Order: sequence, then structure tokens, then C-alpha cells
Amino acid sequence: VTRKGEVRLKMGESKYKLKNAGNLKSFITTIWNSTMSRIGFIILCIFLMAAVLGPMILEQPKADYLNRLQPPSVEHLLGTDYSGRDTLIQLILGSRDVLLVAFWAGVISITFACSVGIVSGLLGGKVDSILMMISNVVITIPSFPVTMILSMLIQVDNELMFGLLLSLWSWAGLAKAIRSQVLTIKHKDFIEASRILGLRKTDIIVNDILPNIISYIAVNFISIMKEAIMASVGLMYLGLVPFQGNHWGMMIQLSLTTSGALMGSGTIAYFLAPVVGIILFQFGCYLFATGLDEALNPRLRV
Amino acid sequence: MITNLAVSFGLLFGGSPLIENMFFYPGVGYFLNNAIAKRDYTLMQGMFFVIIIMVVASNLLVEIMYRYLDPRLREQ
Repeated sequence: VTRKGEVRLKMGESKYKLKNAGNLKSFITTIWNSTMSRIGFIILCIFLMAAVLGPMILEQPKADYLNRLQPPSVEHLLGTDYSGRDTLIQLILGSRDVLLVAFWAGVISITFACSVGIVSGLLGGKVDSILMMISNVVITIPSFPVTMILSMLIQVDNELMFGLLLSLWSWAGLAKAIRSQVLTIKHKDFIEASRILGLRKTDIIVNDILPNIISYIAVNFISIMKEAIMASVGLMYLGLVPFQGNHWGMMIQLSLTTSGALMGSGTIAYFLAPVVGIILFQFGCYLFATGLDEALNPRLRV
Repeated sequence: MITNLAVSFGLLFGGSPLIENMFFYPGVGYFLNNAIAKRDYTLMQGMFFVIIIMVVASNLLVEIMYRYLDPRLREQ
């Protein structure tokens, strides 16, 4: 490409970005206009704010054995746990860990699924069949038991490792879906044009394919986050992940093992708080993902 | 839809580790969790084998069922 061509390409790129910025505005208004995604958006924003602002404002609650296993009161809005720590503060501090784990799980599995799906869709042939064989195997084996066993082998000591553990077995379905998306747009005119122009494969992927499947990826990112939270809480509840912190799964496990929350004691609030938190978050994720799907996929908009 | 049915059918046999642990129901998931907690590798292998066999078998069953449910495939 000559110098002039480069300049023209850059100009085209900036025009393209401007057009996308306009899309962003209409995208936000579409999300805001649908009731479902608006509710989901608000719920997710509240959780995000709790996760970001919580650790700045609140301190780590100290053990206070005089006030242990208190029912909800004015002083402790959601009661206290087995060692007298305030449940509400733990819940807010815990949302940070939950979100970070889910975020890393989403990022890692999306990256993995994208690279596998795009490569096998674009290249085809032998690479395609090998990659699809691997992902078929991964799809067939149920993910939760595998994650249970992997949690024994992998030393989980921070959020990133936990996310990696959760995403190790959850990328395959998305990889297959992305592959089929790539296959449908592979023979469209603009991709044929850039192939005839002699652009490199990486250019085609970044400039032509990714913008077309990014909406699909965004919707799936949220649903993977949802599943990752479910799986992380499950692993924590089973006590398989020795992860330090205020994760909600840890709270559920402690409430069941140390205070017998289900046996009818007054500490039911300590057990219910993280459960309700999880339910609300999943609900928000679901609503937001559905609304996002509607906003990004014009065929669903009636 | 039937493909989804196959996967969930297999998982049904594989048991749900979470719920079985919650209610101490001695199913596959419960033993799998116990095996992991005690580092009992042979039991883990066995439980995993059962789960995988169930998923694969139900997938096979569904593949066969396609023949009967979809007339287009029967002619081929």
C-alpha cells in the first residue's frame, strides 16, 4: 500500500468510527427505551457502583464476638454472622469479588471462543475440523463436574485464576456459534472485496469480521458472566475453592456450616442476603442481555 | 430443540452436584463431591465415566430419534 493509500485508509477508518459513534447513541437509546433492558441496566449499574464504591467507603468488618448471630436490627441492617461481622457490609464488599470473577471468566472465555471460532470459520479445511472436534468434545462433557475436578488441580488464589478456572470449560458452545456466524458472513461482498484487495487475514478479521459479530459477542459476554457467577457460587458452596475474600458463595457456605441458617435459627438473614443478591444479579443480567439482543439485532425489533 | 433435550437428559443422569449436596441425596454428584474432597481419584474417575457415558448415550439416542421424527432424513 502506498503512502497515499494509507492516508485514505485512515480517513476511511475515522469516518467509520464516527458512524459507529452515532450508532452508540442510538444503541443506548434503544436500550433505554425497552423496559426490560432498562431495569436490567439499572440493576447492573447498582451492583457495579456497589462493587466500585464499596471498598472505598467501607472498611473490612472486624470480628465482634459479643454481637454474634444477631437478627436484623437498626444497627446491623441485615444482622451479623457467626463472628459478629455485619452482613450488609460483607455483602457489599463481596460484590466486588463476584463481579471480578465473572468479568475475568467472561473475558477469558470470549477471547478463547473468538479465536477458535474465527480461525476455524475463516480458514476451514483441516484446521476447522480439528478445532471443531475439540470443541465438540468439550461441549459434550458437562461443565460443572469438570470444573469441580479442575478446581482441585488448579491453585485458586486470586480472581484471575478463578475466572480462568471457570472459563476453561465454558468456551466451546460460543466458539461453535461464532464459527457459524463467521461462515455466514464469510462470502459476503465486502469480505470478498478485501480479500481481492490483498489485505492480510488479521486485517480482515479486525476490520471486517469483528465489527459484524461484536453485538453477538456482547450479548454472550453477559450470559457467560451469569453462568460464571452461578458456577463460582456453586464451587464455593461445595467448599472446593479455598479462595480468600468476601465472595458471596463463601458467605452461603459459612452461613450453612457455621450457623445452621436453614435449621430455623435467627440467622436466616445471613443466608438469605447473598442468595437474594445472586438472584437479583442474575435477573439483571438476563434482562439486560435480552434487551441488548433486541437493541443489537434488528431482526428481533418489531 | 431435541439437541438441547439430549444434553439435558444426559445431565439429568449425571446428577446435580449442588442439589444432591444440599439435601444429602446419595447420587452421582454427591459422591463426586465426596471423592474430590477426599482426593479419591478412582471414585472420581468412575463417577465421571458414568456422567460421560450418559451424555454420549443420550446423544446417540437422539441421533437415532432424528430418523423417526424428521421425514426428510429418512429418505436419505
